[in-house]
Amino acid sequence: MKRIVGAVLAGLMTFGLVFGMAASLNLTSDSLGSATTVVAACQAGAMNATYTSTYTAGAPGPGYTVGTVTITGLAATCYSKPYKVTLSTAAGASLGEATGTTPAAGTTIVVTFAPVVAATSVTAISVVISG
Amino acid sequence: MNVMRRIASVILVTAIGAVVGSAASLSLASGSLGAATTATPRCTAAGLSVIQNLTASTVSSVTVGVLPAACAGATLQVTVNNGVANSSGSAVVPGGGGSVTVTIAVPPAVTASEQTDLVLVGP
Repeated sequence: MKRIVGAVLAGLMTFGLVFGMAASLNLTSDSLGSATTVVAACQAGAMNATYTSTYTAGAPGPGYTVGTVTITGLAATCYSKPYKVTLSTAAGASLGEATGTTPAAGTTIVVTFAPVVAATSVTAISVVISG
Repeated sequence: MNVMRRIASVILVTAIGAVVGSAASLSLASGSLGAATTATPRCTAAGLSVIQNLTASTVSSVTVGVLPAACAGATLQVTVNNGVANSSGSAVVPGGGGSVTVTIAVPPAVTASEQTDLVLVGP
């Protein structure tokens, strides 16, 4: 009987130690959540840029410069959204950047560059519309 | 045995609660974002001939030649700058290209050197 009691006590002590060790860790966690959603353009239709060139005797001339870019093909789904237009060189260097908000009607965005940009350097145009 | 069942139930409920809590923890929406870059092409990269046509002692017009057919329909703008004054004119490049004579609005006086600038816009 004493052996049985001794064995039970020994067992309790062992499990007690195990539970004690199991309870000795303290773990917390920062929150972690994730989600994925699609980033879509406001329109799929093509737009076209045309340039208005003006002779400028002063800098960056003397020579022809671009002060206005007209972008056509704007869809209603892109109305009243922030835009950015950049004229750049063949090497990708920015010559000038214009920002604004697309109109709430019509199909045309008239973008004004100030200061004007040397027409001879313009080899690419970039447009981004967000919102 | 009952104690084990209770413990198992508590663990199960806690686990389910944690999973459901994580799944509902974020809500994500996105505004639109569209961007594009395109080249601004030239209708020609070849050399063009530029001849100043004089009337008395002024540059009354400029003839631009060797225009390729790819430039047909483009607007040719020409400006003559004599260092004191400048004046411009424009004309449309005909189909097939060739040469175009642009009349200068206010002919500037001929000097030791005038600068002639031109640009082709469109089509």
